[in-house]
Amino acid sequence: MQVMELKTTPEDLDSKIYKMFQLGARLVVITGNDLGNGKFEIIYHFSKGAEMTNIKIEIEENRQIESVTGLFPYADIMESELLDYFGIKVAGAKPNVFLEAGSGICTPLRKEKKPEEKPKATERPKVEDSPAKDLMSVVDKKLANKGIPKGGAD
Amino acid sequence: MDWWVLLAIQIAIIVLAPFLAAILLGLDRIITARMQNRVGPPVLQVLYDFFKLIGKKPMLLNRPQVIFAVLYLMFVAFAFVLFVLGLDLIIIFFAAAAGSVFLAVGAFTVRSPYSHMGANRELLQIAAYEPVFLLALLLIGIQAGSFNVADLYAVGDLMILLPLVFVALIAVLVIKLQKSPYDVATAHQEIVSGPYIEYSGPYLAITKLGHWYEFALMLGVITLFFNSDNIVVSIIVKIALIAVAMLVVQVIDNVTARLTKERMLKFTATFGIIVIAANYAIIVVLQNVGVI
Amino acid sequence: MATGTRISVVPLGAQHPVLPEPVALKLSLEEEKVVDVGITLGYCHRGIEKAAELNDFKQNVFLCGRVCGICSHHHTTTYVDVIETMMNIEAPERARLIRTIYSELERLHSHTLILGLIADAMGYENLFMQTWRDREIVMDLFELMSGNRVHYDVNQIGGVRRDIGYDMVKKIDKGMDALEGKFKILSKSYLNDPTFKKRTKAIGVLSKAEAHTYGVVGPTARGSDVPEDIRATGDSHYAAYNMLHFTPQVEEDGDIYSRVKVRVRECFQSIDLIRQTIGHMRDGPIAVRVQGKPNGEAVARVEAPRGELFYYAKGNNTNNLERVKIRTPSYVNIPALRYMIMGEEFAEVPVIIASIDPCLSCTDR
Repeated sequence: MQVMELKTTPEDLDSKIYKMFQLGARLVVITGNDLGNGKFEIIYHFSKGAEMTNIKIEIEENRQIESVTGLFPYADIMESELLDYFGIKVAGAKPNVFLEAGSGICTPLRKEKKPEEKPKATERPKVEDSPAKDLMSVVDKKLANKGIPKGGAD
Repeated sequence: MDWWVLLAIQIAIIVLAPFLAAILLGLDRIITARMQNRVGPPVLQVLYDFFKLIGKKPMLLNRPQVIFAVLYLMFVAFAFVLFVLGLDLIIIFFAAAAGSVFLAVGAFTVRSPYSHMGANRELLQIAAYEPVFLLALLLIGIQAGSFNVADLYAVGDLMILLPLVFVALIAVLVIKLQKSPYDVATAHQEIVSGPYIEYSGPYLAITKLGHWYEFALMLGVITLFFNSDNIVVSIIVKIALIAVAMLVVQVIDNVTARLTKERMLKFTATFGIIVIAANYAIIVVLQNVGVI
Repeated sequence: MATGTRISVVPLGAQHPVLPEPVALKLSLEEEKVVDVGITLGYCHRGIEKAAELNDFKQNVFLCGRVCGICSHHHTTTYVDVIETMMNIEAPERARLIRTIYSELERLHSHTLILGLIADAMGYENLFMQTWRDREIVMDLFELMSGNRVHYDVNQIGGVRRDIGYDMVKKIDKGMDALEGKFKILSKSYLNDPTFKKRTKAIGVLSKAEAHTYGVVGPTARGSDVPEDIRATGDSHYAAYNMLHFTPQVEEDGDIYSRVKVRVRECFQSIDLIRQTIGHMRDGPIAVRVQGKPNGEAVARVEAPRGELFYYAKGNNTNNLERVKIRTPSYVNIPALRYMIMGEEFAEVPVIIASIDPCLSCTDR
């Protein structure tokens, strides 16, 4: 398999994609990629016979990109996926194709911004200080009031 | 025969017939399974299902749904009772047809689109097979000189004169039993049992019982085709006729895919009616020539 | 229903007897004619692309196998291929031949499965049962070779995990003979049965131009006269297809019948390919040692039973991958379903759905 890499700018993207369309290539998929520094990489994979052409652009986080559904009508769910998984704005893309609306999951494939600030395992709040402890004592009291011994009945 | 013996036999037939029909359906399931290289359920599985359904918690969407299910059962049971009492074939036919229509109407009372589609198809199906069924009964009546079932049982030569009517009745049986290629009303893979989809528990059991009565009635019509003075011969040949009809239906079911409703209409409107007409034409010609 | 243009909306799915997996179709019907279709996906979404970023790149082989139950081996093959390309590893010849055997057996079991389901979708229960009974031969072979009927997990980066012994090869050969004999009888039903033809011919048509417009792949595309087969286009170093002789099966009409025909012929082709592969088997290592960590980018394509399966992976010189992108064949075939269904009768919809062999757990990942 021959794989061609083509880097281009968002301004130039339309003409490159139109060229692929004229060649009669098939759009395989659009891959999004979080580069971690507030930039996204978008790769358009095209196939023509045994050859593959990957057109790659890099965009800023808030930049909107043009849709390719005019040329490739089946690209709509690919663009929706970019919107759902990365929050990349694509003109005319519908949200929530794979992710349920209102499920609280948004842009799951974005890289976490500052992984080093995560609390480490040793720094976890101890059980004695946690609100869960209070809750447990309340539960125990309630059970005691009902005459059930701590630890549950057999 | 004393009148009370006759009455006892008639009551026994009316009560037991649907369950015998259910056992026949169980046999049908086993034979179908064997044709498909499966083991199949026990013979009584259909009855097990029925009694389990009766024991389930009643759930209904609205009252008319149940009323129409009960009406369906009442009308087909009524038709069967008339048949056993040996009354008029035409009344029996219209009572049974009314029952089928009530099933469709019951399906229209709920809001499920599948139920509506199934009801539509059920009505279309009635329009497709009822003319054939009616023509078959008419020809039987004309040939026997009476529409009373009791009189029909005294005529011995129906099968010899009306073989093509028998063939047409098998086509009707295929549709009635919801078998491929013409099981459009209850198409499991399209509209998920159609008119029955919103029935459950005891109410589904009611429609099932109604279906068995319908089936028993069809088998009753098939038994009209042969009668003999010797009661043993008569019963054996009647059972053989039923077995042949069921086997043919099964083979047809197993070698065909489901066809569309338009094709069902075309098939019954052409094949069913032409076959019966041909049978009648042959009889008329034979009578004119003087063979019979 | 005499009101003419009254349109009723009928849902088909997410749960429906004809759908083995959940997808929701919203059909707008005019009487029983479909005038519009809306497809809702996502019922099987499990976040596998995200999970693949969190796992070790070697563990991912098993994760990718779980994308789909039917084409599990093709998923692992594509993943392994993409990593091998990235790390410049060449799997030994015997490993590639073993991968080919598994791939083709999997194609057989996938095709017989969907052929049975197509028959079932049109109420032809007998043909469905017969097809699935003969499919057991393939399933038994899988159990013999790997110990499992689905999810064989034989691939690893750099080769395969299990060898195929000499007596297994003999049993595979015997199994192929048995399957060919049985399938010759079955294929007559699929190709010549009058009721089957009535339900499949000139229904759900996707012309060649439309197939190009909607970018369909696999048997769906080949049924519409698009001769695309990744196994044949030289894109096939993932297995041993460059050592085998075959031509892609193409049909012209683009209806359900052509798609069925393509699959039936591909079943015979797979049997032939397995025999050829067995003829090439020589003793040798089945895996090479993998050293280093994946870095850079790579793409890989494999002809899965449903069509072209595409993986993209990006490594960052650690044990975890930066990104794994999975494009499954149903991902492009399911949107095209919309155009096949439009204008058809409601009764044909289940058969059309079955005819493209949709895999929802693949599509949603």
